[in-house]
Amino acid sequence: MSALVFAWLALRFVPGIGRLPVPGRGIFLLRAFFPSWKFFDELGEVPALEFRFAIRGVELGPWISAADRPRSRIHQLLYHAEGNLYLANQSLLKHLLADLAELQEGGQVGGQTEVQSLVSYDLVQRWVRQRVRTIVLESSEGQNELVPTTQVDYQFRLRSCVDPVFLSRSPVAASHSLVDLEADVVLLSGVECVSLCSRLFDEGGR
Amino acid sequence: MEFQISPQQALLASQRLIALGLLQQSVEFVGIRHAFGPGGVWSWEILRRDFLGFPKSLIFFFDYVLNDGHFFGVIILQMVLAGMSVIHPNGLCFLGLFLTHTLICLRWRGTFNGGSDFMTLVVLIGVLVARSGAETSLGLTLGLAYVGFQSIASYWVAGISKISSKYWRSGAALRAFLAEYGGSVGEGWVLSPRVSKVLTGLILAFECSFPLALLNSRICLFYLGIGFCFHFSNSILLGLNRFILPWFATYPALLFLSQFRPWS
Repeated sequence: MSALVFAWLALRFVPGIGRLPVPGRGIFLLRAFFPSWKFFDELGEVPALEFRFAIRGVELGPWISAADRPRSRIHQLLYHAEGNLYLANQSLLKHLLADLAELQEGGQVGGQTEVQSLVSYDLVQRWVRQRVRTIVLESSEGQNELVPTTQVDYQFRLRSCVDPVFLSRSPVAASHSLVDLEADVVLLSGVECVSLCSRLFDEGGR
Repeated sequence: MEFQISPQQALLASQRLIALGLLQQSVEFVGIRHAFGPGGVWSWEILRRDFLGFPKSLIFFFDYVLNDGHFFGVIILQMVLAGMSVIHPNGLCFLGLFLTHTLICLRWRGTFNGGSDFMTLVVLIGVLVARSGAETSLGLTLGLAYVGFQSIASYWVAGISKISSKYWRSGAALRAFLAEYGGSVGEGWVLSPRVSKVLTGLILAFECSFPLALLNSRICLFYLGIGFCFHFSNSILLGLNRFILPWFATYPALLFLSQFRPWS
């Protein structure tokens, strides 16, 4: 056991001794093994995810924030699950921003396919779909009429806001829309049984 | 009178504290299982695309262990191992915790919470090194030294990287981060620029001078006391409760290093 642990350390700390067969993406996934102790050293963009939707072809509603920061509670010293999930989701938005910036550097920002192939994009879209589904189901509670299918169109966007503290000193705009990501059409069925199916974004549509 | 801690005592304390931290993390994961379970946002069906560059055998393993159904089992396993390690630390449990923590980090695309995951892994590696060489004082010392020096680096690097920023030196950065991360508590009294500047100065002084904790155990205890308050404040004001136990788990190693004199 000692030999295994010291061998790992040698690979970890001594350059040139060995290289693990880890793909490039693997370095991103294994970054916990390469700690960075630069905490809160950089200020800048705060990503905000917003979405809006329309039921049965009605005009799209107002933009809604997808994630609200959980309220502080005294017990968060011991247990702060939703707060930590909020932070993890915020990191996901930063990853999406970084992925989009990488695509932009590669000259691919106009390609819907490239954006839709991003894992971070798919996760964020899933997040939005969940929120839309929850709101639609909550709003249809108590209605006796059975609705076999409910067509819901949605859009979501990632806004990158300059930190509000600096607004008083800087002429930079408070926020700007980084990219509008138009989404699939989502079909929701019934009240008891929710099934989700989607079709590819129609180029002739919204 | 100098505070004395033996390397065995330091290792035992570090083990129990990190096990407690992992237990806390596991309980929190149970609380948010809706996020990674079937139908959750963090779906394995999507996440597995990140892993397609790995060898096929590893992909097969990840598909089995990290899918939406089985991943909860990894969380429960970690919870059980952590609970056992708090009561009776042993090498097999810590090897298991190292593996479960690594799998959990992978499942969350590298880390769930950044810094706390980094330090948790540092302590687990240090514990494994110390335990693997526990029959020799060299292995024990190496493991504790790894944990201690990473702990010092975490404060010092954080301080140095902040002090080079004019926004931190002016106090504006602290207000900005409290506004971004703080809840109703964090948006309160620290909005005053003067208070923010004073607090920023204290934080930078603490972090940048942290290596002095190695001079002797009395100075070390002083720094650890401030560190105790620092992490509790971060938990209340910024919601960073997961940082507390992994960093506290490094403190016994720091105490040991502060009194370690290999030439005597």
